[in-house]
Amino acid sequence: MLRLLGSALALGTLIALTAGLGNVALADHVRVTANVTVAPAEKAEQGYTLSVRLRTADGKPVNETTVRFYQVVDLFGEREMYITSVLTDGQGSASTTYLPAATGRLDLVARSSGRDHFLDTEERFTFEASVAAAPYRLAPVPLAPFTDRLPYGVGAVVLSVWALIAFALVGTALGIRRGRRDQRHIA
Amino acid sequence: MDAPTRALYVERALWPIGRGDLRFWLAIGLLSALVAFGIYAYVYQLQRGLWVTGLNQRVSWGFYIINCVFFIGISYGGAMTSAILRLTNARWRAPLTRLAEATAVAALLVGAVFPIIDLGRPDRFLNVLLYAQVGSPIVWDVVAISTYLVASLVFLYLPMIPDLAIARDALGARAKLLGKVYSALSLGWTGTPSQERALQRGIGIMAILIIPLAVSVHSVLAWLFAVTTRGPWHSTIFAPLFVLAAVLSGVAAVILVIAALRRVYGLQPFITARHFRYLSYLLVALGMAYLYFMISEYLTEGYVLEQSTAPVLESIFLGQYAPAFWTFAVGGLVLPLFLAGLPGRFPIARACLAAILVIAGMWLKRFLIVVPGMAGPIMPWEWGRYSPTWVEIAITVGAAAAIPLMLIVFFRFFPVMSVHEMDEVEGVHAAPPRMAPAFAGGD
Repeated sequence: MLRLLGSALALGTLIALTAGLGNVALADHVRVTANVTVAPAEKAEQGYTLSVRLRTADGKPVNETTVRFYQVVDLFGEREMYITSVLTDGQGSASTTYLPAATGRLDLVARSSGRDHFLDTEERFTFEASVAAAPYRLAPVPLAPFTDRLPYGVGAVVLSVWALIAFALVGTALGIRRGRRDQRHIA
Repeated sequence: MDAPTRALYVERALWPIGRGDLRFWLAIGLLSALVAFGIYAYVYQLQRGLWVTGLNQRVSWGFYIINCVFFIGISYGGAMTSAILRLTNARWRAPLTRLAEATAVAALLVGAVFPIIDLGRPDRFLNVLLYAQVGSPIVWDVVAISTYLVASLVFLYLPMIPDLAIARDALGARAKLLGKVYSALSLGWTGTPSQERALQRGIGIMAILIIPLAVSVHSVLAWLFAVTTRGPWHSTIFAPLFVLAAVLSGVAAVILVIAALRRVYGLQPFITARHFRYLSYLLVALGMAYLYFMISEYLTEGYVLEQSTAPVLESIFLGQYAPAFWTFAVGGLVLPLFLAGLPGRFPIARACLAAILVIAGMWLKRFLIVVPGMAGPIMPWEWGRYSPTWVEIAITVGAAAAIPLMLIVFFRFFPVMSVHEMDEVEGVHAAPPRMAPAFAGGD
């Protein structure tokens, strides 16, 4: 009976200690906020500069943390298209340029994964893009001036063949009919 | 040819029309049963889908495409044999041309159906016409085959016009309905010089036209393979190789057809050992040319050994397809050359045996082009697998039976040999043929 009581006490202590340790660990994690700004890039062909600044609740910068940028797109349903990732500096800041594929409203996401005792953070933001990459153009196909015209040439040959077949058939039939008519006239 | 011989010739040419003894009905019954079984297998496939075949994601071309190439090849050989013999004015051609032309049409009708069978959903064939893209080899194929089919029908019909008139005069009273058909189809032929000129002009055009047409059909079939993304088919020699294979198997088929019908219709006095000897020589010449092309192809590919081709070549020469390849190379190509080419006794039997071996060998060769080319690895580790099911085998057998069935039925209504052409080579006509070229070789 005593042994059973001892075991229960030991188990209870172990659970209490584990929970306490957990509370201590959670208490040590620090919330991080991301502040994202969008501005036109220095060069127009670069599109926009996406800047992010990571800070703790008490305003301390979060450095050496990777921030990934995504664009929310509709491709067989809503999904995130990865843009790029940046690493924050000693001021908790990082920036990159982004040239959208199309103009209009863009929904972006900046997401940092936690490091050491800093928690993950995510910031969603929207802006109206008026600059976009030039539409994609196919490289000219080699031999295109020739191959573009080839079907017409082949088509003409095919039509000529059909015309020859028709001529052979109809010409023969008419020739035979004519021969018969001539023979009747002679008769 | 003296009058009694000509009378016998006419009698033999018209003999099968309207006749049907026990052998005829037995042949019709047996062949119809095989064709019906093939149709049943196709309906079974139509109801359940292509999964009842051995075709799969990796090997999506199998027996059906092999049969398409094979039967169209036979057709090509029949048309070429007839056209070349006409253009060279070979005097021995007269009893053979009709058989060769009819074989060409029958084989083409069978071969042209196989791409539709391979589709699984035959209604989708309409998409080829409704949404045709000129850059697609499938569209080239449809255009080439349909043009060739029409040309083959015209090439069969034109030389038959005078014979239809003979049938009209000879059988008109015996068979009234047939007599009306002959009368309509013979267009009032009486054999006047102007009619003769018109006919010879038409036949001449078609004989010249049918050769490049047949070459184009088989070249397009070859390009259908060569322009795909499968490495083993990227061969510049594919088109001439296909053309040669087609003529080779076609001449072999003509030998078999004339051997069979000669016996059935009692044509021995007119189709003699000499005809088989000449056709054997043609078979040997084509076989040797094919051997040369094949060695040239394999030597180049085997020496370069590109990454996509190497495993396929290894499987053909030494691996899982080696038994089929060596059976074809030795039994279907080299042995027939000796059988058909060496002088000796039994020329007809040897020609027939060589023809059977060549036909079987050329089918195997088409198998070796289609299946290893499809099954060969696209990634280094993934070989495809293909084993035909009873459905594909039944449809193949049914199709093979359909050719003699069509020929037997056709010759029940139309003259089996060309009387007009025999008269032409014997110089019976008033007007000399205008199509005979200067290099006409006679016998």
